Amino acid sequence: MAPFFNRLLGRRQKPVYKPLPKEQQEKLSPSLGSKKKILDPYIQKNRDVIYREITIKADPGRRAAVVYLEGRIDKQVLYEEILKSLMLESDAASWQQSAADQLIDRISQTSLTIGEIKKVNLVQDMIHALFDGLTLVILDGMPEVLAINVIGGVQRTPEEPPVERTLRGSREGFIEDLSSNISMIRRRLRDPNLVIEKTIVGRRTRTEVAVVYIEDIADPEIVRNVKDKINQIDVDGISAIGFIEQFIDDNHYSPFPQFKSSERPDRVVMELLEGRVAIMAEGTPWVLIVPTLFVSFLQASEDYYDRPMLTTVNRMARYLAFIMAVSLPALYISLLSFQPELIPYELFVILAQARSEVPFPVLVEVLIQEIIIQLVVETGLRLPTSIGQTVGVVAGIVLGQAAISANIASPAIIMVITITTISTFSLPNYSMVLATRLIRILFVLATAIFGLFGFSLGWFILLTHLISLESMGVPYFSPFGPVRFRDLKDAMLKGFIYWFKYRPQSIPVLDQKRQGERNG
Amino acid sequence: MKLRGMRIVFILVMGSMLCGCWDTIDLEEFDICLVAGYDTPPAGETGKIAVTALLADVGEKSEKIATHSARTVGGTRERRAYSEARHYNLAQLQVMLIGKDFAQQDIKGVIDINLREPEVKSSVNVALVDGRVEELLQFMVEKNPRKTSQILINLLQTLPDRAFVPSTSLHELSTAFYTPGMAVAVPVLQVAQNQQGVEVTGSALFVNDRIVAQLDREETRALVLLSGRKTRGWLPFSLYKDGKLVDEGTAFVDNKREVEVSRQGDLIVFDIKVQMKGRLVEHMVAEHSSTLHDSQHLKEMEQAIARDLQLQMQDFIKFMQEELQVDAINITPYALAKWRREITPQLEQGFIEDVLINVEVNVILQNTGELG
Amino acid sequence: MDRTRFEITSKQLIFIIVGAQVATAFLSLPRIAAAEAGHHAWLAVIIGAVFPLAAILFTVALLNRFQDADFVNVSHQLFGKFLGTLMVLIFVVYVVIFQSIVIRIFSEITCVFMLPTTPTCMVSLACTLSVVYAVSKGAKVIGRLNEFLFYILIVDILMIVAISIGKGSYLNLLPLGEIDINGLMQGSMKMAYAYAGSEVLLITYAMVQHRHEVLKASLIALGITLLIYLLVVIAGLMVFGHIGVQFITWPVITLLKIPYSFALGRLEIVFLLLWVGLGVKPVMNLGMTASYAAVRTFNLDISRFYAWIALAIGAGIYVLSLLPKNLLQVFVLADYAGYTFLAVSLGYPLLYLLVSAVRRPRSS
Repeated sequence: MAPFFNRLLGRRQKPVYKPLPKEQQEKLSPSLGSKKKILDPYIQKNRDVIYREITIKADPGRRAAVVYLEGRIDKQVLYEEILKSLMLESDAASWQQSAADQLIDRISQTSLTIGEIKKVNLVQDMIHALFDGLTLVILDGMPEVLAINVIGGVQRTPEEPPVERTLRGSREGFIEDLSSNISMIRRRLRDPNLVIEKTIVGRRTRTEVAVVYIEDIADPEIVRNVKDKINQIDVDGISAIGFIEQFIDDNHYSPFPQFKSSERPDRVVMELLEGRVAIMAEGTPWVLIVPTLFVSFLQASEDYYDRPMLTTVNRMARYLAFIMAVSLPALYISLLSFQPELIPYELFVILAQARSEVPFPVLVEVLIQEIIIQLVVETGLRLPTSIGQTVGVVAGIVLGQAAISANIASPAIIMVITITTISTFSLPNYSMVLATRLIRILFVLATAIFGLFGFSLGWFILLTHLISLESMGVPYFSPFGPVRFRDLKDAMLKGFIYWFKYRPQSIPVLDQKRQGERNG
Repeated sequence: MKLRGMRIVFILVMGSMLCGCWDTIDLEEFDICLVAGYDTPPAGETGKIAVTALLADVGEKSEKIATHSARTVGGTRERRAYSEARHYNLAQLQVMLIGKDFAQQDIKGVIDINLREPEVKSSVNVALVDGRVEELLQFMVEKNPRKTSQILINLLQTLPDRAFVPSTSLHELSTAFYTPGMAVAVPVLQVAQNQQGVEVTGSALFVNDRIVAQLDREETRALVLLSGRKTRGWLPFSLYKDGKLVDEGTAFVDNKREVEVSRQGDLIVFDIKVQMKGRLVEHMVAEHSSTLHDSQHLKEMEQAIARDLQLQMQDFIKFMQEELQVDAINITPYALAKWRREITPQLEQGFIEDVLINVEVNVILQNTGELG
Repeated sequence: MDRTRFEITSKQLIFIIVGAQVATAFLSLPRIAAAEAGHHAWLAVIIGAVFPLAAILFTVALLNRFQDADFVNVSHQLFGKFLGTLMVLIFVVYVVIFQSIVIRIFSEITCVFMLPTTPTCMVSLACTLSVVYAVSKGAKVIGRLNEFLFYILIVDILMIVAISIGKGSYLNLLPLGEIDINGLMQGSMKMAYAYAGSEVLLITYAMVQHRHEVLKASLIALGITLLIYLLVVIAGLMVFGHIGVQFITWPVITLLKIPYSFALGRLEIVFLLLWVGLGVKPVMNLGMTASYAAVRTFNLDISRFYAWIALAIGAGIYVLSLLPKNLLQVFVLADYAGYTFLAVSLGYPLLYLLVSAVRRPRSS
């Protein structure tokens, strides 16, 4: 409701933009001493900044220095390819041939056996380069500094993602390192049209963020929109992809996740092929996929690896799970305490007998159980796996049994809440799990007021909300609202792979065609 | 600030609604009525109607009955309100029983209140009790304090699957009201002769708001077969040849009806074709030699069954046309479908007695089980 | 919120028109049709469709004459600023009054079937609030919502058809001859009211992306409505007969109470679960058109004031819906509203056509 009121009041967010301090945008002066002076405060405060003056073999008269962050570089490479090259192997003849202003290029061309070298001539850039992990080579008498990428250091090896497990999919998951992640995608998608654009988000964390898409598939409008929104982010720092997600989503006041994140490179590649854009950030193994439709939260990678007839059943079960997760306790309340006439007689007798000993009204009973389950789940999440399982079992079985025998809860409600919880967690995406929890409580309250009518009202509002949502300008609830029949074969059903001759209609793309006609 | 104001108002509105919860009920505060019975008031009570409710006591897991008398059905609810500890809830009403004495007066009020009430479904089963409902229910509850309602529901719902007796819903009973010249058959219950339980003795015919006739089991069978209701059941038969009993046995059959209507001048002629299909369940050949591989014998059995039934049906039609003078077998719509404008006015004055009704019965025994 | 939120496809137009027509009225349709037209009630449904058909044809003929088919602009062009605004406002007031009756009937049915002791005003409030929420989202969302809800409506219709086949008899519809012309005509007039809602086309015409598809889409919409009404009326006749059906206030719901269903207990549950999505569509659709027209006619900033106007119109609908004392009074008012529907849906385009013929020669 809040965006509605926002619109009512015509509110707009004012852009906040703070320019960088002025002195840091100045150009570097040629002398080594002045550059050292700029770096001095950082060197003194940080023990991991290493400043080492060297003598270059080709030009022994010129003062030079190497500056780097101790933990971020590959020391072996630094010693072999930078220090050794400059100090022992650089060739004096080639240095003297070049003019003074081209000397710096000459050095990188002849004396440094390293791939990625860039020239820096602003104070601000030099400091950023140092803290981004680059190694600086500073020479006296030159206004530019060489920033050399020999980034190394310890990294986690790719593992199977714990949340999105599959039986038949790849076992590789993203890690925290952006370039490794990009390489995982490149390895799977060798299309020269795969574009990886990088930008930096966070004034202080300076997190590298990559926008990845296939140029001749993805809709340029969406790509532009994504890039604009990311560039507009002005924040001191982000530590996970979730920050970006919250900054760029279209509807802040919605319980539903509007972008999907995945830890699986194979999944991301599939999404890229459907014309979506992936957003990756340094330091997060999660990749954000934009735009995302509601249905994709009910699809799992596994669906595409197994036989369609079987996965269709799984997928239907997931839809059922979503509906039950949202509405089963609400339905229980509305039937038991508003419309008992609608319960079949045999079931009615069982439910009524179960209820007869319980002192609370149905609503209170549901809320108590709901809160207990939430706490059990929350506990299980934070504890180590082995203890978490024990706590879950103890809380679930012992507490449930105790509650029934103490007549505080009826067996029926325990069943209802358990089924609901199981349904909740059978959804493949955790953001959606969280969303269903909140909506479930709202449904319970609505039915507590109006019974079955409240239930109907709740679904109406939920549908209106879902249909009005947009993910990066794409209707979120498509292919159900707007109904796109062509896409339903990958929404409700999981059709045979050769049915998907064209990319989904719900997401605008440049190139619709996906398969040759003769497949299948 | 304005935004916050709106939010607070919204939360207040929703919160105030939550305080309402106007219609919530707690099942344990309710007497849930599973079976409702309608009688004339017992001696010494005033009013025109006595309502006996079979109530589920969910806490005790038992059932009990309570009777209240008043001038109308609603009036008994008023009486009940003063004398009972709990609310009265009709949400799970499954069976309506009508006492015979009461059915001879006027059941209009019963139909009206139950059709008007959204809680009560139209598929409630209706039965007539030969005697007083209160006594029948009292008897049943004493026999079976937990399962009375279940027994009654099962009995009435599954009856057509094993006997040629109609299972009548409230909706069907109510059609007798607004359809002139039409009778609706309702099964009749009574305490079994051996005092072990209840039994179905046949059916009763309702026209408008009262009972006009009570039929025994054979008449009920004729009526059900003629009216084309879907039923199935056992048919015992005897086969005579030259006045001698040749074979005796039982068939299990279901039934189907076709009606054709034509005119011979002013006379409207209905041709009813009743077809019964089923299997032979048993037979005891009087003469030792013949088995059923002799197809002639099977045919004779079919004909014997058909002949018996045809005679019974013709008797029933005669009874219907001469004594009841209403359409109990639901054939008038076929005539209406052809000559609605002409016939509609006649329905009130009596239409069925002036038509000719022919019956043809056809029995097919499709198999004979494991024995030949 | 920009103007693109008010662009709809011709497919969505179909569902908006169907949604505006098929709502609470169809629950009592078999009774009303059979009261006058007897067992030919279904024929009355077909003949009744002539009025909305004419209304649609006139509306399309009118708006096709203008480059900018926006109803408000057309009004201003034809009648001048003051009179044009007045005409639009009359339309808005008509919508508010008519939809207040719809909301009231909806709430009454809700209270009868589900919430007997809940105050009707609370039920109306809850509906109106959710309708305003939907309206505030704009025409595009309403179009999508209507489409989705239409498919859900099909579930209901199929259920009703299934019951009528199982529990009804086709004999109740026969004979096809022996027509009572007088009753049929009166029944057809009454049936024409049931098509109220086709006037959304006046406003939504300009929202459709490809205007050449409008006529086809609205005719398809009318056809769908006709088919739904036909099925419902035939179902009512088959199960209750044309005499029996007159005793029942809402035959379509009562129909669902008849079969004994093994698993669900009662089939009404399916119907009641979908109830809000079924009943409030006209309020939503016409509320949206009225809000849009009001915003346009005062030339307000649509992103700032549309939602406010929607809220105001919702408030108007809510307050008016509280006025009638009981359901019978509501039914009497609904009959009058039926007249006003004919007056508006036929009168507006005719009057406009007349004025446009007088005021300026036909332009391409």
